[in-house]
Amino acid sequence: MDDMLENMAARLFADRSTPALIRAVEAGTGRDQFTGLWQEIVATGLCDSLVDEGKGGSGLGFAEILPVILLSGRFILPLALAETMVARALLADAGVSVPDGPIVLATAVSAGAADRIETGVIPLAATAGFALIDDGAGCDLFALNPADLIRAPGRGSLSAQVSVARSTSLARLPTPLVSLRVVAALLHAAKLSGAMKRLLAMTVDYGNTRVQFGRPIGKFQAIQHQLAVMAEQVSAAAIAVEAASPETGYLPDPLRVAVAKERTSSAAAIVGAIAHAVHGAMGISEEYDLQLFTRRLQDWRVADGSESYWSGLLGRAVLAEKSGSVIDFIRTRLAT
Amino acid sequence: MFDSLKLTKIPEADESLRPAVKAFLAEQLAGLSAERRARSWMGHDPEFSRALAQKGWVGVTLPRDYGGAALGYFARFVIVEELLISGAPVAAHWISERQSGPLILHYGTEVQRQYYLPRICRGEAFFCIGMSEPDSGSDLASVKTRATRTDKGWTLNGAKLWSSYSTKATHMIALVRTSGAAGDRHEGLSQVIIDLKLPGVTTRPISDLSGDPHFSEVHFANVELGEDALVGKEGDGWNQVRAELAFERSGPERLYSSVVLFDLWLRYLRGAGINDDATAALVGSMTSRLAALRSLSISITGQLVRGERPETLAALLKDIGTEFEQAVPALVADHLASRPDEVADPDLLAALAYVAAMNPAFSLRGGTREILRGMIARGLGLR
Ligand SMILES: Cc1cc2nc3c(=O)[nH]c(=O)nc-3n(C[C@H](O)[C@H](O)[C@H](O)COP(=O)(O)OP(=O)(O)OC[C@H]3O[C@@H](n4cnc5c(N)ncnc54)[C@H](O)[C@@H]3O)c2cc1C
Repeated sequence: MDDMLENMAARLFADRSTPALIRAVEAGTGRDQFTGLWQEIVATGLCDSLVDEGKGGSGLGFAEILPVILLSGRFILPLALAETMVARALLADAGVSVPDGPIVLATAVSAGAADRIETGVIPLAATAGFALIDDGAGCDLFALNPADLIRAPGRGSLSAQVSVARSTSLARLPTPLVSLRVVAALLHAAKLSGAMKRLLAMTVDYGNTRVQFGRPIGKFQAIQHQLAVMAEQVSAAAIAVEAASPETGYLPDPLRVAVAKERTSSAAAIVGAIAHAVHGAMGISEEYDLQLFTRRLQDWRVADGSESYWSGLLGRAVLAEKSGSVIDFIRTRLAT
Repeated sequence: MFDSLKLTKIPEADESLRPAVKAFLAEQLAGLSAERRARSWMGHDPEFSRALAQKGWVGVTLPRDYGGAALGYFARFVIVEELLISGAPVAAHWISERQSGPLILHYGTEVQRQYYLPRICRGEAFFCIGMSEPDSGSDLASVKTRATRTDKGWTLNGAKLWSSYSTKATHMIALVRTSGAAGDRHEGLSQVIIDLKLPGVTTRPISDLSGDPHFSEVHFANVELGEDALVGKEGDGWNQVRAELAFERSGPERLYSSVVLFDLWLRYLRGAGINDDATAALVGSMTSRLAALRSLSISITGQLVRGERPETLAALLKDIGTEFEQAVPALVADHLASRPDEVADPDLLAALAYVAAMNPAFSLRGGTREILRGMIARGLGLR
């Protein structure tokens, strides 16, 4: 992707995905504002980045739009742009016309009545217009109405479970080569990476400005060492996300995604804790922006499987090999 | 800091070295015990180092004119990675290959290059590091060993401590004071090459906690050094050492000290068919951590190739890398003992015993965890 697209997205998100907007959306009073923002996003053409050129899109590979997804995490965009990019590419490939509105990606859970489809908790379902749901045999597109959502607990959460009647499916797509859980896990890993870089910068800034005992708290070795650990976690998570991003197409390799989601989810717990420790009581206040980020970190950490889920999947693949060093496995199966 | 952190591929040409290295190591190390392999880069065997040198794999980054293979850092990454996975006893040539050779190439005179580099590449000159002293550990700038000017060169007095394998080395590159007093800190320090057979040099081995006499104490009593003992500029020792440590900190050896143990454990789990959920999750999380660290290490290698000096990132990688290395024996021990009615394979237990005992050293050697975190904080703009 050229830097122009990235710069354009950075400007748009910085201007419009502001803490004030996010607070309004979380309070349920910002519907007009976020519909406006969505229209601006649609106007940029970003939503069709992954759609083939022949089908009216930009035909970019996932790695090329990764910077935009990282930015959507950096600015905790309250709309499912990344998910919509993938959904539109899948729909276009299946020859299904694209609906107007954010689309979340979800996986059906096995429980429930035969005539209904239910999902686990999906971030940003509350501001989405549609859901693409993978039931293992295929994917269905559903329009989302407030009645279809079981909103997740917690103040300001934009996550929800979806429960819809199968008969309301707008279109059925064949099973993608890679399950939607894998794809969505990579998107959340990327958003985590973007948000964690921002949290590191915010926390270093705070360390340099908050004064106690006559000097900036960042001069205290105990604070410096915590920030060093934060930088380590953020770095390892960031490179794992890059390594999982397919250069062409948009369907990632499940084992590389396992590393990306394991690393980012594990890091999220550490990074969130250190960010709060350094910010003191200020970080606990509603008025201060830190909480907007650390609450989202919690959502994304558990979305589409936590670190333990992905570790199990990866570990089973390692154990299934008959022999060979773990480095041979990493080199041949997990590295670019 | 993150802008420079780019996902990097090992180029095909360098990757293509791997099969030959693997085959050579499989043959050379066929009879080597698990316990010896677990020593990783602390295993010492000059015969092995010379055999490796004959293949052209010692001094790989040095120019051909000096006997090197004129390959890049990526090629070195591939070779070192294979050496570490196989638990090859590389200690004899390790320091020469990793630090001393590149240092002499960079800062040495033509005469020094022509003399030392071919000997390093043939596995004849084995170097050790003389930085620490009885009263100078983390506070390296406080070193007291002193080289005083004479008509013919320098007279050296003082003592170095903890130098790995100096009892078996031929030379030491030492950080010494050439002017001023200890209070002058970074000013007045220089690096000198010392032939360890010179009169006035006495070396006493010190056993480490595993029983290996790998450490030592080296005393200098009026050791006469020639004019050409000085490497680089007089008084520039501190800068030279910093550059040297950036190389030392970013290589795969800062991630792989426990990898032989990891692999023995995997072999045992596979052989015994232990693949319950908890085991799989543990294997997976350890693999995932290591995969990300390897990507970081390759990315930093790419920066070295481009001629950058990624000091902060090298410190960052070493700190998080050694944290992983140290976690391995603790996690493996806990996993094995979570099944108290099963007795694991003796090779695995022998390797575990060594790594579990030695692992605190991983975050001490080459700069302690606390010192590295201070460097990262500086890179973040906090100091
Ligand atoms: C296996 C091994 C091999 C080695 N090989 C060599 C070698 O070949 N050549 C060589 O020259 N040296 C070698 N060393 C020595 C190594 O470089 C030193 O151990 C290291 O520099 C730390 O010094 P120290 O052990 O004296 O600890 P100290 O500096 O005394 O530190 C003790 C503790 O205090 C902490 N501390 C010190 N200063 C600070 C500070 N400012 N802020 C916060 N905490 C601080 C340290 O982090 C550490 O936790 C080796 C060490 C080991 C373990």
